[in-house]
Amino acid sequence: MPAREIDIQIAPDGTVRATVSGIKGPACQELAKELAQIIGQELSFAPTAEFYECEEHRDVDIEDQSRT
Amino acid sequence: MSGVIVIAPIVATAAWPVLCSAAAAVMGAVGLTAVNAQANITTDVATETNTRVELDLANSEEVGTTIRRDEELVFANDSLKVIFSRDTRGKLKICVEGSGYSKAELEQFGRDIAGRVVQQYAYQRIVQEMQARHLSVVDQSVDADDNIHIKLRGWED
Repeated sequence: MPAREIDIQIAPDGTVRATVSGIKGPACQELAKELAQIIGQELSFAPTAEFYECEEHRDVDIEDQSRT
Repeated sequence: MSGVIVIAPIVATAAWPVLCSAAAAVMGAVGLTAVNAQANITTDVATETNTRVELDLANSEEVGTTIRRDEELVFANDSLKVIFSRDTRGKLKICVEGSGYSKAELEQFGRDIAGRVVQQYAYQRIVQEMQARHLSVVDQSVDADDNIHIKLRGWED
């Protein structure tokens, strides 16, 4: 299970800058938006390279398992 | 990294208890203590020698029914008094009074205080809400420019 991390900086005027990591794909943006909803209004969102990586999927062959 | 978001905090509906806590933390740090609002207003506040400025709390919205329109949060020391209250539109305002200060000095102090209160408000809301989402504070610090840094960590389900 990978760790998900949020690094947050709150400026003296209250402006919040949060870096979300450890979450690939749109789930990252969802968490960021959730954070924005909790405390105020989103000013900007900048995706990074990891954002465009696919979420991991693991296929399970049910047919094979049933034969064993 | 996955993404960077920048957010302007809004002191939100029904957040009066969090705001009270944030204001108490900030006022305590600058040497002002909470006083009984009603008792104080009738005694030493509005003297002719006092200078007074009123400021809207930036990015505040209707604070809901958790605070009555006549309810105030008052902090004071020997020369300064800061009053948080709700204006007729339901928004929060800050009134700063003091003797021996110019209006510009009090306004600057009030704006600084307002920013710090919003900063504390954001800190308390973030920690509270993220812990409810199983993200724990693993590190926090305040840098030389008074920025608060928090690192939250959790494990994906």
